[in-house]
Amino acid sequence: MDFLAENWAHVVEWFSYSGRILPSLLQGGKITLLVFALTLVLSLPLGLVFGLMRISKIPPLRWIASAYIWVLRGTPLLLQLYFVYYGLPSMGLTLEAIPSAVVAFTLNYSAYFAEIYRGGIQSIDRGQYEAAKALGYTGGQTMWKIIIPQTLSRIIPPITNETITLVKDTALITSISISELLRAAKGAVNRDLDTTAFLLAAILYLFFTLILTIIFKFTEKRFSRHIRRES
Amino acid sequence: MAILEVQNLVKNFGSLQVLKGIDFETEKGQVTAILGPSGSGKSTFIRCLNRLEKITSGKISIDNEVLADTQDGKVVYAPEKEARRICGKTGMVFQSFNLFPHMTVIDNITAAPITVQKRSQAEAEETAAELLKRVGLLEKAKQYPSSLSGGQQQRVAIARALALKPEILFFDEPTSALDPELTGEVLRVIRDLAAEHMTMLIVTHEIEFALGVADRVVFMDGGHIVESGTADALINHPKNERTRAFLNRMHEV
Ligand SMILES: Nc1ncnc2c1ncn2[C@@H]1O[C@H](COP(=O)(O)OP(=O)(O)O)[C@@H](O)[C@H]1O
Ligand SMILES: [Mg+2]
Repeated sequence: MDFLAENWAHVVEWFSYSGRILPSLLQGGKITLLVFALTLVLSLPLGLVFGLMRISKIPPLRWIASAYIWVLRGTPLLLQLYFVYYGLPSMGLTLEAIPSAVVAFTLNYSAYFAEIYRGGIQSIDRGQYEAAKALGYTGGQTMWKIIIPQTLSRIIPPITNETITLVKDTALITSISISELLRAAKGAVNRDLDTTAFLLAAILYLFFTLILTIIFKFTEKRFSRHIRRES
Repeated sequence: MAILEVQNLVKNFGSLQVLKGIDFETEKGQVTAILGPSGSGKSTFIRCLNRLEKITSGKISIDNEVLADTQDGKVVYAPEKEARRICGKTGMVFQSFNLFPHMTVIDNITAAPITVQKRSQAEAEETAAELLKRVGLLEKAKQYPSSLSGGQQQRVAIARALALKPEILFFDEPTSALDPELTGEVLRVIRDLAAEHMTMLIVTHEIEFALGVADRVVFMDGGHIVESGTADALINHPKNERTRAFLNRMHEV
């Protein structure tokens, strides 16, 4: 208590400083959130397309998907980001910084999601396909109504992991001069010679990943109702 | 009138010939039990009848519609949509049940009528409830398959197959995956169906059951139908040496 009393003025000063820089951090946080959300919304379905191509009966589709996944998982995301932002203009396609980030992240994450979907689909027993076929389901109906719904409880945990990695990977876009959360924090630190902004940024990232974890846990439960839990 | 006609059915897996020219017919309302040692091609035979396996040559007709035929040594199947409609007259019950684990019992039964036959949800549910009552599992309607015993799951699987109102029902060792004390409840359901003159083809190792339920028994060995006849004739008075040897072995265990 003595310590608190002696340093009371500092504590008050710290909170009032934090309050002053928070709006600019939240402004950056909005950009982070935007890139995150767009990437997720676009890469989840795109990943499914490549995941299904990857196990297609048509060889060229399989080859294309394999090559795509290999390239995007085998090179650094930062390099892919540079390629889209700095490299594509020389090929006649110029994108603003934020669209570049969304494109690069979407392509990269769709490759990871494709592998998760593929693993999920391939983990389903052959008997499920046979039962569906014996009941007269078409291939498409079997996939959408029988197979994919069963993969959900299995793919949500790895998708959660990737999504949390995505939150943190958004910090990379600071390198193409996007004013996202990390850049906003760094700006405040450089200007005020005070590292408080980094701490606040960390808290914001943590808050964000915590919310995501809770949402995914809830979703996982929802899709695991059919699995009997041994008590 | 034959509801199912098979002529000179051959099935190869790579260089292995598993079915070596099967000729088979069944009448409406007839119950046929298929006996035979493991590996003799019983499963492959019935899996060919609903396209779970593609045949190598021969001819299959269901309800007087040609599913597959062989011309100039090449198998020609009915176009996909036609083939699916023709096979829709058959239903299948698997050894391992293969219920859909993500659906409740009632959804397992209504899913195909709704998705495949475009029936209304209400109609499908009404049929499903009747079928569940018939197999004695109405109170399990809202449960998931994982909470049911094997015998209960197999009874749901039978209800699921019946919901599509098939002309003919195939069973591939429906009780082989069950604990002995659970086979009775499944066999009872099949006996009830036989009493209602459901056309059925049943692969089984339950000799007593076959004797009781089947109008006719077929004995398969090495990819051939070795002998067939009434249940009594084939089981109690087998003519073929291999049939006799097989039945003796079955009686020993
Ligand atoms: N998908 C397959 N690929 C290769 N061989 C198979 C396949 N399915 C069955 N066989 C072989 O075909 C033979 C007959 O098998 P099956 O029809 O399952 O016999 P049964 O049901 O009478 O035990 C066996 O030798 C088995 O190994
Ligand atoms: Mg078998």
